Amino acid sequence: MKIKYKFIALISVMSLLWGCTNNFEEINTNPNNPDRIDQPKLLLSGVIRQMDNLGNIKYYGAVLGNYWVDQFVSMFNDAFNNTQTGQLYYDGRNVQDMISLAEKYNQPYVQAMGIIIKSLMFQQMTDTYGDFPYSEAFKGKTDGVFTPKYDTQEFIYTDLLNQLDLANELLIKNSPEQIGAYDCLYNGDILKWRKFANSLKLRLLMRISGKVDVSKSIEDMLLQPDKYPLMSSTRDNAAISYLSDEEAHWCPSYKATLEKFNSTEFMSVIIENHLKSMNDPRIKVFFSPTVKGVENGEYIYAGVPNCVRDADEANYNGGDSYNSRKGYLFAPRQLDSKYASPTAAQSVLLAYSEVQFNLAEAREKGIITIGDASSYYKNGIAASFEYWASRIPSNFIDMKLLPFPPTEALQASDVTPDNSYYDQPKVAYTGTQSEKLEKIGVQKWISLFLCGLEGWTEWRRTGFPKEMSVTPPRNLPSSSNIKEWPRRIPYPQNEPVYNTEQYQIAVSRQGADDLLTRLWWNK
Amino acid sequence: MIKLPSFINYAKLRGSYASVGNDTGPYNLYNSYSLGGYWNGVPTLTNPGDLLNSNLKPAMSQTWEAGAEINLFKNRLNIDFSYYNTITKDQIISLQTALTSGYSSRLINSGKTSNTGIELVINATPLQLSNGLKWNVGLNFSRSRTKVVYLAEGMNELILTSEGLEDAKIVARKGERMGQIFGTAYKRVEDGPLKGQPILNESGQYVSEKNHYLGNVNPDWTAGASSSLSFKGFDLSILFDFRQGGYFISRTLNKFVGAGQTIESLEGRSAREPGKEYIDLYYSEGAIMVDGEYKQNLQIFDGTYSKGIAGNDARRFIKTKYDHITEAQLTDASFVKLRELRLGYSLPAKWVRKVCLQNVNIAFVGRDLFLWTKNKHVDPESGGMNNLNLGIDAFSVPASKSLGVQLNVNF
Repeated sequence: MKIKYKFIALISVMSLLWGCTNNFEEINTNPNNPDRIDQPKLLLSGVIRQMDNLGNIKYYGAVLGNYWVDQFVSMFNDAFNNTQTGQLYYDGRNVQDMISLAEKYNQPYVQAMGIIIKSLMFQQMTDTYGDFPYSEAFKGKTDGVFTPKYDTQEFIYTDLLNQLDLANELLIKNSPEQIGAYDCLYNGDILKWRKFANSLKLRLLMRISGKVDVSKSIEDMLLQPDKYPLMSSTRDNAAISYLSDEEAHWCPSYKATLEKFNSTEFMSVIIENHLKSMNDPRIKVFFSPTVKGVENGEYIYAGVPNCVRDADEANYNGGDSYNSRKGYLFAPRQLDSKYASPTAAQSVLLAYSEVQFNLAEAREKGIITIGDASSYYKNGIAASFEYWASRIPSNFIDMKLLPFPPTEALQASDVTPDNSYYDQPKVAYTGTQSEKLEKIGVQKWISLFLCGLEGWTEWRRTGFPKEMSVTPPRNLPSSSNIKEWPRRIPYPQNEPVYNTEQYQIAVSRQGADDLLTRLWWNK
Repeated sequence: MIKLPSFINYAKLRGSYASVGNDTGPYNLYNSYSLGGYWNGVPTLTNPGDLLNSNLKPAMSQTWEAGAEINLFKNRLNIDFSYYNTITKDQIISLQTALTSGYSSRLINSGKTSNTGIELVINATPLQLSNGLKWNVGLNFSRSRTKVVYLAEGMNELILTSEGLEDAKIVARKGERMGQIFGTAYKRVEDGPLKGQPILNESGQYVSEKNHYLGNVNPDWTAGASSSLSFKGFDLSILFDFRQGGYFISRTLNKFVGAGQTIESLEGRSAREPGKEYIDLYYSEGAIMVDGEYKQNLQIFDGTYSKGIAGNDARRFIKTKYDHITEAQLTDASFVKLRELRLGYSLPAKWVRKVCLQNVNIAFVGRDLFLWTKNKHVDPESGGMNNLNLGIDAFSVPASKSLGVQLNVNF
């Protein structure tokens, strides 16, 4: 008997040993999640939404662009690089993976969409930090590169322009791909993606126009509109729409706390002065009249200078309820359960108005000889008004029944100016060339409201609005080392720690890793 | 055979060596996609940020242990002592990587740690009378040290826990003890009459230094002591736990102070008349540079910090001492705890046997009844000493006392 049991035991132990190596792959493969996919479009909507300009990255973009104010002066020290900037490249592995898979399975449309989003991502990264890992970036899984080298900004820009051309060509191909709802930006409209690619290319070209002769590249695009279609109306805007179905899909400002809306993010005096001096109705949609004013039956808009302290802010204009908060499009649910909307605001990545302002500047400077600067300029302004008017939810008009509505932007006509707006001296396309360029610059900056970092980036390039240059951050903390408005953001903290050698090479080439070192196109 | 003296009833020397492989959790070899929800009715996938590794092998631990056990005086005294050393190699660690590689961490086999320690257990029966009265005491003591010998190529530090919002981190640093705490600390005067005083900047706020070594999360030693008395079916026992040494970072303290919810936030403010707390300015205590020389900043007029330059905002005055200063949030984790107090009664055996049972014992039990520790607000065991967030207490659930009745029935 005993011997028999021992024999059975031996057999079972041996079979266990066998089983171990036999099913190794199967045992170690997660049955709940796929480890391989052949439909890269499954990654597309996540990749697009990572670029969300109203998510974390909107915050410093809006403050650096001087649309909003930030009371936290600690923002302006060397520790400014933080998780917010990390947002820009957190999702790099997904876009990289999507591009490789699309190439492998011969899906040119998805590949092109990946290339366009990746280009937008790197354009923002290099405009934030300067030199940055690019050619070796995101290759941890595929190539085992964990300490990618930094490429110069010039190299990155040159390659991004090639990549956008490649994307434009891939989108001309015939492909049976069915993308539709997997694309949360354009619902699979291939022509709109081409317009986006070329409009992004125009943005890049204008950004480096002080360093490189970009005349031919832009003229080529304008001369062959079939080959290089550009955005031609606000319907072509690259803007992510939020959804109302579940909380995770709501606009971030709708999810934000009431405290944040009421007492931390206010209108900056710089944009206040510009909008008021032109009697610009966009003030009504960008910002709200003060709480006190509304209580007293008056619409008052009042801004705060950037970087005032906690205590000083409480005294500025008389306190929080005397300052202008964000507009009602950005109202959180806690403020007004009836009118606040999870879908009214969009995350704008690139708008038609920007295309027109880029062309206006190019024409005014003689970079191109096609078209009329004044028309481009007016189109840009009109497109901005049209866009913001179109975002006012249709039920806002019901607020008319209230004794004194908390916002003045109740319908499109409230934020659409009549012709006298375009004729006033501050707006009319008249004056010397430098006056005209300033008008373009200021209007472009206003139109870039909440378009990520673009408003700040364009100020760095064009110098408009001028007031920003003479606004040093006040009350700097002891750890701060700057006396003027930032020109750059230090590298993410994770880089000097885990990519030390490459980081140091980049810093020794580019200059100190601080807020003032100028980027290549800004030198 | 050796002839032992008669008071020794039993003696044993032991030694052992073991080599053990340690594995990792399931599905750590191949990366898989995770579902990022549905957008517009279609599923979206994402790649998780941790890169897995299909070439993982088990981590190996080699332990040798030597010990001795002795029973004396008719087994009334028992002493057990052991010393051990464990070398663990090729641990499966999640190595943090530059995010520009596309991943925030990757799994690798690497590292070497050396852990040595001693354990001592003493049990004694000082009193045992023929009428059934019996008194037992027990004591145990342990001390353990883990040293990080090697991490990975080019790597000097592995972050075990970090509290990004408060600049503190708990790390494994090559060549050092496991669980070192680094964080921001007050910058202090290096020399002169004010040596050691924290430095204030021109607006009266503390100046801090980053990446300062502040201590270790692990205890120097831990111990337990118990005593039990039994007599005619009644038994009374008491158990204490001790922990000496080790620190944790208390974000709870910082936030409570900032919100004016703890006694620390009364500083300065309490000495002022109600309604006048905010009229005069507050002075922070420390050294301030005046004409190239450090001067004492604190001028206490009747203890009220009545002049100063930190502003007249009491909250700011108090917060600048704690906010983003790990040193101020550093809390000693030493404690003594009354772990258990128990009073029980076993029903007489002859009653119990009638209903076919072996033993029935009813007892009143109190657990975690008293705690003696240096800080006033957080139980070191619930704050910061749990493994999920080692060394950092961020609004941990307070520990609870429990009182109960226990019924044990043996069949």
